[in-house]
Amino acid sequence: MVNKQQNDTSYLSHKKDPDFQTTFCLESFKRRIAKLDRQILKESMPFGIESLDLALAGGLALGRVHMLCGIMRENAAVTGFVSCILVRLLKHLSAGGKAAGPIVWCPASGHDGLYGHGLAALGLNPAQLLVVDTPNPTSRLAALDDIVRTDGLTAVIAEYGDVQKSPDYWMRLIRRLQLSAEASHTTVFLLGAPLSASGCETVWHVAPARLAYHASTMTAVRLQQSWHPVWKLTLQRARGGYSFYSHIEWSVLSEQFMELVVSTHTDTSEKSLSDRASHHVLAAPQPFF
Amino acid sequence: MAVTYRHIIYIHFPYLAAARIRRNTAVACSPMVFIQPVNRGDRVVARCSLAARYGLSVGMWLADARVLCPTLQTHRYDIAADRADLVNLALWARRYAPLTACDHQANGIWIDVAGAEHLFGDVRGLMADCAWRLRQAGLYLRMSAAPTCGAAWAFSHYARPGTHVSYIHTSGRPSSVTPQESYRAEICQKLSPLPIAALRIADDVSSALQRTGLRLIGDIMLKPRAPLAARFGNDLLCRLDQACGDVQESFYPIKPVQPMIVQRHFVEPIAASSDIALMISYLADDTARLLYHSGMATCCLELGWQYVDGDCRRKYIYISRPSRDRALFQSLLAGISDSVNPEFGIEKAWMKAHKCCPLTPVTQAISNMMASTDDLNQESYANLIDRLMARLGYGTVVHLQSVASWQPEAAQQTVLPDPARYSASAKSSAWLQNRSNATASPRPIRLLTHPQRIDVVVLLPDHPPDQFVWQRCTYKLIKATGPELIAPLWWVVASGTKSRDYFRVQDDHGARFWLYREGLPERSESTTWFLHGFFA
Repeated sequence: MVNKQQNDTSYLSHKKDPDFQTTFCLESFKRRIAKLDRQILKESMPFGIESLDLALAGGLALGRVHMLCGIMRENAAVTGFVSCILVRLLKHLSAGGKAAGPIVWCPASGHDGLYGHGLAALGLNPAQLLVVDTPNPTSRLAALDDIVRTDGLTAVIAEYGDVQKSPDYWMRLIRRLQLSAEASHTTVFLLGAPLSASGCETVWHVAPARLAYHASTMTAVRLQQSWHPVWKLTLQRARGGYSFYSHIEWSVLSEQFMELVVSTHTDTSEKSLSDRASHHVLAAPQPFF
Repeated sequence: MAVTYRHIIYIHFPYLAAARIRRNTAVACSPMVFIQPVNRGDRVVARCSLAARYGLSVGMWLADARVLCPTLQTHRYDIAADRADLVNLALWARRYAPLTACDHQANGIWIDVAGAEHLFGDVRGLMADCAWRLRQAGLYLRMSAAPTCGAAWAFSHYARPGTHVSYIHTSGRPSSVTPQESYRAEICQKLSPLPIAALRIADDVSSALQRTGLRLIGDIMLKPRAPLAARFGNDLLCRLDQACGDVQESFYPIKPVQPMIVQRHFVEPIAASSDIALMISYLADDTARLLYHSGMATCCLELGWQYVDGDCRRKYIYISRPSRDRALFQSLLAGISDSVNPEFGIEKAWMKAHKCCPLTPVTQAISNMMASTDDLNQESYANLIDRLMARLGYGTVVHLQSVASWQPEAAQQTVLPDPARYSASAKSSAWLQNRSNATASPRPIRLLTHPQRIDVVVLLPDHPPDQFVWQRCTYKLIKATGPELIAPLWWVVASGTKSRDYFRVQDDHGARFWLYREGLPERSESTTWFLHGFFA
């Protein structure tokens, strides 16, 4: 909105400039199209975190394909994050007066299966899930289009694991899924190892974040004791938005995402312990309930 | 009076319920009885052969039976299962002759083998074959053959074990008498030493006869009929006449369920993929039409085909709710034609509808009404389940179900989805009831089906580990909570199984794991560490 106002005032001062007029017309058309695109076609679910919603241009777009990547060893972090998104999504739908349909989950053919009691602990009712459990990842991905095209589903979660396919395959798959998802208004989440595929509405990288820090502040003490899920979240790409990096916590009791602010205070002993990022003391912006 | 004698075989299964239990569960060989609660306590209604050897009899009080045999196993008597078993046995016995019937009162089946004995040599051959097959299935049986239903029943229940195979021979009879007279004489001769109860009469009639001193059938055979009828009722004489063959008696043969099957035979073997697709589509149409005309719907379609060399193949398609929708059949079968390998050609193909149930327009209308009031788009959801099962295989599409168990592996089970009950189950709080427990005792979001062994570094024997190695990667742990002790089900599992101490741990990168130690150090058991799950 601020940007538009500036443009409007500058338009008055540069009225005579023909070059600027063409640029301005183009810009305003683009903006109008984008506005139409977003308002009419896209319904979105806000995360409740201001900076993240801004980066996503309003929230997570529903009826689109989203890709959530993570290292396969940290598969549970991605699973946990997407379950929390589903909890928010079901809440969002019921607040909007819409009935929640079934959720289809196609887990990767691994030895670690979905565990309902863990999902229930995060707030997701496993009775709403339809689990498609096939050992063959290729047939699972081939059936995905059929699943997404079905009316009445709230979301489809497909884990591709670390299956190796050509970039062409991924592009065609995602393009097809995108069209089906838009038609049936089903939100699709692809989970698996990072891969270079284009066409998704958003691409995320999810990794677990550590919680034990030097207890210099009260908040840090709180974090040290809490077992709430915390992720290092990188929004790598978002259509119509921009990239984003932060630590996000899922508050199990209030069923809300909370952003953890990374403070400038660093602890050397912690740094020596870990060579990875997130050696900062984290402090939650909200007071603890 | 023209009575046609038939060739009836009666097979009595005295220990049918026990055989079912022994078949379904691998239980130790100890005497077992089946009890049913009556007014004042539990009565024995069925027993096994071992219990019979201890002298336990049907009609005893359970307490008395326990006195005779302290190691007695008791089971609740399930009359419906017994009946179903008998029906299945009668249907199976149709391999010998088309007319078979169940005797639910006395746990037996009748087979009318007239005209079928010669296929097994003679009736002895047939009986030997039948008895051998039933004994292979673990059934104890008493079998006899006679020209009348009543006599066959009496011989199999009450004749001495050595003589219970008591078929009356047709050969070698004296030519001076008619076959009927010789039959009657032989039946009467074999019936007369049997007790009165062998006539299938009511208990009070037989006890009244016993009080008067008439214990055997032979005693009443020669008595004047009128006083007997006046004192004990017509039923007694009627049963006697039926057993001797003076009055015709017949049974209602069991009717097998007609299979819903359509077939196509080909003049020339077909092999082209377009022909196969057409064949499947024709069969689906025919099946839908057949089901429509018989007012039935099916839950399982079998597509079968026969190659030129006589080899048969079958494929099954499961439907989540009874249906006879032609379009649904077509869509489910669409993917199958690619998986049919024609080899050298297909000569014959058929489609059979299993698990049929009646579907009238009224029930259809009611289910449609229910579906429209439901907020869920049930039809498309059910179709999705069917399509996925047809495409990916039976049992690949499941629902998760919560089970009340402390064992983490047993606390969740997968069930086949039932779209009709989806909205009810989604609203139910079976999982969320456990949620309050789960916050107290944490459960992982992904659980390993088989816990994986890890090498750990532990400073003190009853402490959580400081480091562990899993799949050749080392994880340094910085945080742990626990232990949560989960003991094995000592009344189920073998005695060697150890208790588990579960720990929730976090490594220095933030990943969280669920580890457990098998064996308690304070009991100085040897301990082993396992990885069992991952937290979000």
